Amino acid sequence: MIEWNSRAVRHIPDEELHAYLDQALSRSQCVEIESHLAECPGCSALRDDTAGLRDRTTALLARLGPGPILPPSFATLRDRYDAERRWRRQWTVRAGWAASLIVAAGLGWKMNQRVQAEMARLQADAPIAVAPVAIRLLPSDSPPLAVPAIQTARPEPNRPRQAVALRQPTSARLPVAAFQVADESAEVMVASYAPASEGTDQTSQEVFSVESQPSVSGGNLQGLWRNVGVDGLEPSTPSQLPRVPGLPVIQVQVQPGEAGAEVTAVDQQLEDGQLIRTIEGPAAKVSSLIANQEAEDASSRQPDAANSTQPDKMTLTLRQGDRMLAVTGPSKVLGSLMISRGGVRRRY
Amino acid sequence: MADELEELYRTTYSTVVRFLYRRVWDADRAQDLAQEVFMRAMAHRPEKPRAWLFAVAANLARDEARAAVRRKRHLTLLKDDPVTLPSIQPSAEETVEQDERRSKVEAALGALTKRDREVLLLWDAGMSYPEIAQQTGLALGAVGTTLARARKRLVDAYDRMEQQSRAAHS
Repeated sequence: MIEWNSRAVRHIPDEELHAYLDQALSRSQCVEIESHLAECPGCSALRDDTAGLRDRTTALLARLGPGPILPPSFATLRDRYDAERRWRRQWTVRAGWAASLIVAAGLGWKMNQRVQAEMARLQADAPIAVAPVAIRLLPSDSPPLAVPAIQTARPEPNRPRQAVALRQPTSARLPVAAFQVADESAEVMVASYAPASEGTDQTSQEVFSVESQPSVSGGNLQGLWRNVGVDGLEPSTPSQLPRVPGLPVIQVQVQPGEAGAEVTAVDQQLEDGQLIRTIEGPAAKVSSLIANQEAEDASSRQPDAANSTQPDKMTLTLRQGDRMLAVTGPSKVLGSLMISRGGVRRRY
Repeated sequence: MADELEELYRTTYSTVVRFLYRRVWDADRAQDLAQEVFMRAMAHRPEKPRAWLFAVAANLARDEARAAVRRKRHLTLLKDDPVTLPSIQPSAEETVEQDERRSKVEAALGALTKRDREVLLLWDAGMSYPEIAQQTGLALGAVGTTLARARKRLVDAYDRMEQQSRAAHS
């Protein structure tokens, strides 16, 4: 505001004069300044100088013009604004779609990773090749194996012998042990009919029980079968007949079918009177027969069978292409067969 | 609002262009930025459109100056070496004189502090003291002080360049 010197004479400061000339002061401030200017020649001269400086500044800045300015019409500007807004909206939508796709792809990839990881985990839980497991199929107190000599139906010295690796499930809930034939990508399965139950060892989980007394009957096969005479089959039986060589054949049944589609079932008897049945034919038919046979055996099994002394029974299946060979018999015999002879071999 | 903005556009567009030009020193670019300012006003619908326009224009000019520095194509305003000002080959005596004066004003403006230059240009664009105070963050009473100092320094710098120019020619 207006200053008063020691003689009580008021003078107007420089910035106040600028504000006054710029009309930035209130009406009362303007009246006060103008009253002083009328009485003070010094401030009046300063006011003229300030006005001159102000005008000169304006004149100097006026030289810094951009030249003639031709503004576009407001409508033109508004149209341009509308166009840009539409473009931005479209871009936003497209960016949204792109982002959605990226997110979806990312989720898919993530899910795929999880599925792969889960599959890897399941595969890790799958049967592992453990050769000694074959031994576990045999009770520790079992007598020395009375295993029939297993020979190939048609020995081929030049052909490498099939290595059969025994696999077993790591989970006790899986009553199936898998055997894999190494060099012919066929599979041998050991199917167990006995449910897993507490208090039973691995052997009892992987096998099933049949009647206490060994039966010479392998059970009835489903479907229409024709019996073939068995006289003279052993040892002069044609080698194509699916069987375990060295054991007497007691029954041969054939289910007629088209060429190559017929099913052959050969029953052979062990020394102790137990039966080994070999079924050979199209994989679908053989597996169906085995399944039916298993169901039949399971239904006839006694509740306390797992703890009984009944002989165990298992089925080995060998699949190659669309053909399947299934050998059903006492688990001890078949298990030792796998160990001692390296596997069952059947030429198709 | 649209009518108010249209009226403001009609009365203020040239002022905004001039304000921007004194920051970016490019007439076409100043016009582009001014149109951008008004298009932003269409979207934003400010309550105090005039003050808002200059605030946005100042921000755009600042961004533009930064970009120009990055591109190294801005006109450097030298404080202490007026001899290195861009020399203009005379095509006509008047034109040369005008260009020289113009260059000196540019240099004199560049010799001001950033705050002084901003307040001076805002005032020259027609903004009131309260508007200048709001935009620059200065106290209302400090606007007059800053403006007084800026005017004096601008004129002094210009006169000094004139004297140096005369001395160089003689």
